[in-house]
Amino acid sequence: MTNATAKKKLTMQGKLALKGFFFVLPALLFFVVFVLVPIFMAMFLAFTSYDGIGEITFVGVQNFINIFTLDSIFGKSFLNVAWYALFAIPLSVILPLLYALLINTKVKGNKVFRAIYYLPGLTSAVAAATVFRLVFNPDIGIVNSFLRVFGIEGPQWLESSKTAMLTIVILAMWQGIGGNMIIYAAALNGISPELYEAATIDGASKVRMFFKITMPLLLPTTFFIVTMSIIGAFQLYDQVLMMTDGGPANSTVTPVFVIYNRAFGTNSNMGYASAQAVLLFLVIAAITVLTQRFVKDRAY
Amino acid sequence: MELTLTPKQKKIAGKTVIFIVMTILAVVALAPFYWSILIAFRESEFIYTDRSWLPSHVTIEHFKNVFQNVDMGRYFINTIGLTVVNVATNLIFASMAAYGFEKLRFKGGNTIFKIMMLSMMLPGIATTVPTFLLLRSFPLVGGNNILGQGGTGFIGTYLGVLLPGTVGVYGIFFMRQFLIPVSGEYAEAARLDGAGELRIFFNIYVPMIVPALLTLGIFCFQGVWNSYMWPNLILQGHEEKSVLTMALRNYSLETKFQYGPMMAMSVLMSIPIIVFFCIMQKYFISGVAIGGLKG
Repeated sequence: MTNATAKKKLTMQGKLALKGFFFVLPALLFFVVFVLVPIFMAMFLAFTSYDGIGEITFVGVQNFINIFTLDSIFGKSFLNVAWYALFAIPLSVILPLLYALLINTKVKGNKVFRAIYYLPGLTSAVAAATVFRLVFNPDIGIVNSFLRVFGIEGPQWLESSKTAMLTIVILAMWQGIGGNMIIYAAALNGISPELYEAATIDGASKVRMFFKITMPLLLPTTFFIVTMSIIGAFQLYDQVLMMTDGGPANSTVTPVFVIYNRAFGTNSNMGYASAQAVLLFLVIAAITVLTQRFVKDRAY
Repeated sequence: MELTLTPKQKKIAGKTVIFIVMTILAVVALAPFYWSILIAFRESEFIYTDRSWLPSHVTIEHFKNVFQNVDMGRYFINTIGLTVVNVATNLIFASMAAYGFEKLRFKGGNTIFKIMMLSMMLPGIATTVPTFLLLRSFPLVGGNNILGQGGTGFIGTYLGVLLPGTVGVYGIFFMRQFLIPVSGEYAEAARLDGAGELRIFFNIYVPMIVPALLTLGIFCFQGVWNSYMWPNLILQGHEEKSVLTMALRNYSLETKFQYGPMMAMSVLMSIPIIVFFCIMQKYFISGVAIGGLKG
C-alpha cells in the first residue's frame, strides 16, 4: 500500500467515524437530557427540601436520616414488595414454563391456546386492575362465586390486609404468564433435539432429561425472567393504585407508590422523594448484581 | 377387568389429557373477561341481587352511560396519536443509533453504549421527579422566560408526555442485536458508488431489518398504550387531552367504582387492542420471543 492510498483510507475511516457519531447524536442528546441530567438532578435533590413551588433548601443528609429513623411506610413498602416477590417470582418461572411445555406439544389447536393465554397480557394494567376489582369482589366476584359452589365462603380479598397483596400477585400472574410462556416456548424450541435423542439412547427417563438437559439449558432464559420479575416487582404502581390504593392498612403500598405520593401528593417534598428514589435504585442495583453473581456461579 | 393399552392408544390418551388441561387453563385465562362482560350487560339493581353465571337482566344502559358521559372517541384518538408518534420516533432514532454504534464504529462509541445500557437498571421513578421539573422549567416554552421561569413549560402538553420517551435504550440495544449479523459489504459497495450514508441506511439496511422494526414497534405500542402514571402526571387537569387509561381511572372515581359502568368502559377499551392483536399476532408473539432470547 502506498502512502497516498493509506492516507485516503484513513481519512475515509475518519469520515465514517464522524458519520457514525451523527447517527448516534439524536439518541445521545435525548439520553443526556432525559436520563443523565435527571440522574444528577435526583442526586442533588436528595439532599434538599423542596415542595415544588417555593425555595429549594439544602438539608444535607437529613432526608436519609429521616427515612431510616422516622419513615415507617417506606420501610413497609419494601416488606410488601418482598412479600409480593416471594410468590410472584417463583410463580413467574414455574407457571410459564409449564404453559410453554403444554403449548409445545403437538396438540390440536395449540396455536389458539397460545393466543388465549397471551390475551390477558394485552390489556393495560389499569383496565386489568379494574376488572380484578370485580373478580375479587367478595359478594359478586368470580372467585368467591366459584368457591361458593363448594360451599366455601371466600375471604374479603381486597378489604383484608392479609389477602390484598395476594390479589395483586394473582393479577400480575394472570397478565404476565402469556409473555413469559412465549419466551420459554422459544427457548425450548432452540434446544437441539439431538441432545434428547442421545439421552434416550443412553436410557435416560423423561423426568431425568428435563432436569439434566432442559433446565440447565434454560438457565439464561430463567435468569432473564427472574431479573425482569424483580424489576417489575419494584415498579408496581398502576395495579396497586387501581385495586387497593395502597390499603388496607398500607398492606399494598409499594416503593413507587410512596415516592410518587411524596413528590406529587399532598404535603409534597420532592427532595425527600428523590432521596427515597436514590435508595430504591441502590436496592435494585444491588439485587441485580447479586442475582447475576448467583447465576454465573451456577452456570460455569 | 384389566385395562391394557396399545402404545397408540396410550399416545391418544396422553394427548387427550393435555388437551383437557389446556382447556381448563384457557377457561381460567378467559374467565375474568367473561365476568366483566357479564356484569357490564346486567341492570344495576340486579348486579348484587342476581348472582347468575349466565346473562340475565341484560341491558345496554351502562354502555349508553359511558358514551354519554365519556368522550371515548376523543380519548381513543388521543391515545392512538401519542402512540403513533412515540413508535415512529423510537424506530427512527433507535435504529439510526444502532447503525451508528454497530456499522460506523467511532471512538468512544462503545463507552457511550455501555453507559446507556447501565441506565436500564434505573427504575423509572428515579428520574420522574427531576424530569418533571426539567420539563416544567424548559426555557422559552409554555410561557417560560429564558431562565425557564414564569410559565408551565411542557407540563400539560403532549410534547411533555412524549419527549422523555422519544428514544429508549432498550430499542437501541434491540436493533443493534439485529444489525450485528448483517454484512457491511453492501454499504461499502454503495459508498464506492458515492451514495450518501443516510441513503445507504434507509435504502439498504432498513429494508433488511423490517421484521425487527415491526417487533420493536409493537413493544413501544404496548408500552404507550398501557401507560398511566406519566401521561397522568403531565396531563392531569387537561381533561380534553386525556388518554384512555386516565379516562378509565377518572370515570371510575366519578361513578364511585360502580361495577356496571366501570366494566362497560373496560370492555370497550380492550376491544381495539384485542382486534389489533388478532391481526398482528405473528409479530406480537415473535416480538416477545425474540425480546426474551436476545435480551
